[in-house]
Amino acid sequence: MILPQDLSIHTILPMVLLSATGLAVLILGTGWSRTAFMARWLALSGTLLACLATAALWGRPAESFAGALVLDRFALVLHLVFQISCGITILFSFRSAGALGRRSGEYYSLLLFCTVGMMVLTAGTNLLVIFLGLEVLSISLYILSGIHRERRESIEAALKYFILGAFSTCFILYGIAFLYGASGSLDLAEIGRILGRAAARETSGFMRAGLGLMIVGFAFKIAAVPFHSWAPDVYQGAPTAITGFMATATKAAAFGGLLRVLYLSFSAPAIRETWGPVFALLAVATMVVGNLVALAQDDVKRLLAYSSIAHAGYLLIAVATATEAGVQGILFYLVSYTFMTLGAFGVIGLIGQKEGKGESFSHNLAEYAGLGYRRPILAGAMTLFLLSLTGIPPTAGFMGKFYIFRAAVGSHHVGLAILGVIFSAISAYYYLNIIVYMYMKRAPREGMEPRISFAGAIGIGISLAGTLYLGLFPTGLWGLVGNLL
Amino acid sequence: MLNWIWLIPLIPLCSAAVIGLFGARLLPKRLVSLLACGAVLGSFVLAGGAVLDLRTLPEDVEGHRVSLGEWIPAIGVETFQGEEAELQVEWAFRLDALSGLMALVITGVGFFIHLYSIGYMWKDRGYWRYFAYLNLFTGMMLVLVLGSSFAVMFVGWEGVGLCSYLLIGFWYEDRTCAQAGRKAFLVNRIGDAGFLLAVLGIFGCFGTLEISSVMETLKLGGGPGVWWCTVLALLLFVGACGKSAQVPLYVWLPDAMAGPTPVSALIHAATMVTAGVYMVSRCGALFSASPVAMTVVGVVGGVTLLLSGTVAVLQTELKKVLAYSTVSQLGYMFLALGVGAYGAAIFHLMTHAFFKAVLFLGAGSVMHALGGEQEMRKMGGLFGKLPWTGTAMLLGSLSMVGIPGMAGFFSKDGILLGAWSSGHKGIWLVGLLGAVLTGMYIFRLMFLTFFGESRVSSEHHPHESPWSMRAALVVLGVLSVAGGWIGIPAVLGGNDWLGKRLAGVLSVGGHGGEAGHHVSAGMEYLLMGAATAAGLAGLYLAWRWTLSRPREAARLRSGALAPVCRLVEEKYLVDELYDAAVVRPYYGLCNASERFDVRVVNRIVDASGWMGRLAGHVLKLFQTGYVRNYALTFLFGAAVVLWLILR
Repeated sequence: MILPQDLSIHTILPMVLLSATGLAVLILGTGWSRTAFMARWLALSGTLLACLATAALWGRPAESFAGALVLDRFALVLHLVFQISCGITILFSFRSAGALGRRSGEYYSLLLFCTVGMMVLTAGTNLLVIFLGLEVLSISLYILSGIHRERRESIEAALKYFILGAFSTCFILYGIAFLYGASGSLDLAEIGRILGRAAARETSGFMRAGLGLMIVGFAFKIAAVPFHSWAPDVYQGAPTAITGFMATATKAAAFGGLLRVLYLSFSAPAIRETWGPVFALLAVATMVVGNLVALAQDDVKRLLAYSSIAHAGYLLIAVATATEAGVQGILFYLVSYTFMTLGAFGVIGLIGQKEGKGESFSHNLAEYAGLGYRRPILAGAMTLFLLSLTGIPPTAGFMGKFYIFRAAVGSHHVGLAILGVIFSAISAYYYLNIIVYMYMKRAPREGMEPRISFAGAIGIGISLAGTLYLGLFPTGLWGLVGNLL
Repeated sequence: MLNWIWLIPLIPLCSAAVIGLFGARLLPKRLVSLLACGAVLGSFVLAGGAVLDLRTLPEDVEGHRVSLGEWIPAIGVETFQGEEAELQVEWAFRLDALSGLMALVITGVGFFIHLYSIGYMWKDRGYWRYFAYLNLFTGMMLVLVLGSSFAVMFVGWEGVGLCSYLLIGFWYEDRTCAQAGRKAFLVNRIGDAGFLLAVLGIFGCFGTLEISSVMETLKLGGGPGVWWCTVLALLLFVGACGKSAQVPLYVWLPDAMAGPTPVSALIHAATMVTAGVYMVSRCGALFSASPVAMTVVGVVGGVTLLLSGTVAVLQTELKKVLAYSTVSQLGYMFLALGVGAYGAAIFHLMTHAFFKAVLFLGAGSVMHALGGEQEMRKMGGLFGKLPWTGTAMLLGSLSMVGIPGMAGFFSKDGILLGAWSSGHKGIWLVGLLGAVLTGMYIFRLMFLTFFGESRVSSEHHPHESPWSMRAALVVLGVLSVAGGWIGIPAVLGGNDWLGKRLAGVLSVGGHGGEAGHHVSAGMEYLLMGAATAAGLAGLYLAWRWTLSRPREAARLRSGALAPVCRLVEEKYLVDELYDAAVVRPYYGLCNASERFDVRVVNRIVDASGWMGRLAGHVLKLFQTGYVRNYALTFLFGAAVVLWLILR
């Protein structure tokens, strides 16, 4: 049970900071006409402080709440990813959320709460804590994706997400119940010990069913095929900044939670053999559907939604290896993927910004024709993000794929690695297609030039720097994410 | 200052980036000039300071290495001998006497050429572009010479190739310029391929790419054996042939004269083309370990020397003569390398940089005065009108011919002495013959341009160039006289200061040192006399056949020697030979593969792309938009997962 001396509040300081900022932003939002201005700056500085507080915990693995929360290097790396993603999302939201008026307080506070949920999820080593984090993050996202409540698409997205999300939550909860019933414990490590002892004999069916149900629940969150069908609709309906956040931070959080469960509870060699093939199958299905359907898209935002499904497929390859090198590859990939995807969605959001009308819901490829000449710097940045998503050196995307495929080859999953490479090649078609539009098609008309907000430019700049840095100097991060679990 | 040597290449590179990014609109011309020249001057000062600081190193330490960090992280691999090795490359630079000298020559000569370019290019539309390229080139060349490992050297190696392409084709709207640029790039690629293979092979044999440790291994008698050394040395030499314009890869250099003249001076005479000489002497231990490779280097150098020397004698365009003379002087350097006289080769490299730069800049000044005229038959008698240019070029020519006391004398003497004393009497004779040719072509150029009757067409009014161009001419002219005084041999009362500095870096260890046998002082005097006499003989012939008795020359050319002269005038038909043997068959192959590509490959690709999109459209049908359908697929997936787990 939780004893007072086990609380060690300082370890949860980043979460406390973010929650407090979220509350403050929410209270600010109840009145005041300058709310939008105050809210975004407050949210941004709160995120920055949380980043610093997280960095301060570095190198001192700590537990709190009687081991229910573990702030180890694994958690801290992911927490920084969430916070950076949150910060960049706030930067991209400066103008789009401004259109919400007084409700922008809600917007930012939900974003912050969502981040807290992710942090709880990845730091949790207790099934209930993990569930708590998952729900905090999910509920915030349901509302965020429907924040434009006057728009049909937005509401539709939110509702679909909510219904299917609730569906998947049932699976996770059911899985937790099974695991608790079979082992008598909610603590992941304890479950792992019980399983380890049982490994010699046959693992109980309840235990395995629990694992399967958990996998299904997490597979929903990371949008793995066939649990992905919500993603394209929701990604398209949500405000673009939030889409970027969902595609990066949420995916990272779900992978973090999944890896925690798999490697703390189900890491005994015998049981690894049961879940390895499941993920291999999911990986193949996800790569196939994500990449092939992306080929058939005309809408850039929807295209990137499918591309993010495809990337979940590459990540699942690394899960399927069931090795420590795979975990290292996943973490590296998640960081680099965060930068490039956020950047790409950021550019889309900035271009989709229509003067006075807020954000448009159509992001047709045709609008990108000639962008390379109208807005050379923005188009250049977009080109780099797309090349990185394709996996072309010297960008982060290349190194990420390299590490994952290497892990696959190293664990004798050569077939998966080959499939990954083939589908990367296929993905080049739809990524490069956007570049072709930007540089080789004439602009249809002299349209309204999108005006780029300063904050948005900074967000793009940070993403660009991250994408290039990790591509050129990958070793620093690679060393950092080694031997975590 | 030794710990700051990484700034030496970085300053020009940064300046190139600034000028390249902002030069088009934001920076005024004066600022561009200031930035470009200032960057090179800054590097020069830094390099000078660092070279002076080399004295502070302990006696037995040859150079100082500075690493900026990891480039290629350690990857475990197996060498050819089956040993475990780690491929690890750092962004490291190394300063020793050799790379220091190269850095000083590059930045020193480079600075004056930058200065000269201000006047020469002032009216050009692409002024900023020109200086961005020129700075990029300087930076890349410095990376090449300062790079501590073969990998970093390769970065510079490719970088200078790229800059050379950009600068030869600088006036890209002109078809010949663009084609010359392309030719240079393609021919260089052949050499680069050899170099790259050599680098990979070196890693395979030695398990490291660090130049000094490879050479250290060889000096101590280690290494992979003669056979591998021969292969590696020859591959490296292919690279050197490409970059340093040796037979048979020299064909790009004469065409490269299509670029702006200061570029010819800097890149295609003073610096880039010496990269091969530098690289071979840096890898001296490897070459010395293979007698076959040494012979090949010496023979190729000698052949190049004679071939291009003879072509230069009959050319009528100012810059073409200089281009072929560059090729032949590079031949001298390789001849020296081939007999193991690495120090003499490097010394000649330096003096050649001085006198060839002044000759090219002078030629540029002449062309500037005549509105771009290159044809020597339309010049003559210009000395009075262009006194600065004429004097500077005269100094350069005298130095090149090897008049005693001038820079070229000492370095050429060093080469011939090296050839004689190492017992390569045949190569020595070739060198002597080369000296005659040198005297002939360079003074033919001088006489036709500056002396005799004026054949300048009346529409031109020759005028001396602006101060920035004259300043560069004067300084380089002085250097082509005095630059050799740091290497005066002992017999003439000097102490061969340069040679002693370089000796440590260039020593090749147990495989036999520089200049095997000692030569008596009397013999040395005799050799010097022979070299000087050969140069003067060439000078006399030039005088006789251009100024004194031109009829005699004409009679010779139309008489018995007519077929030979025709052949030489047509540059031995080498370009035509390449055209017939390489270019045309290649184009034929290209056309054939294009047809195959369009008719077969393209259709397969189209079909697969079409099928992929079709599959996408089919799969898209599952995205109905109805939540109930989504939930159904979800349930299906869950069933599959549970079945797999519980199976």
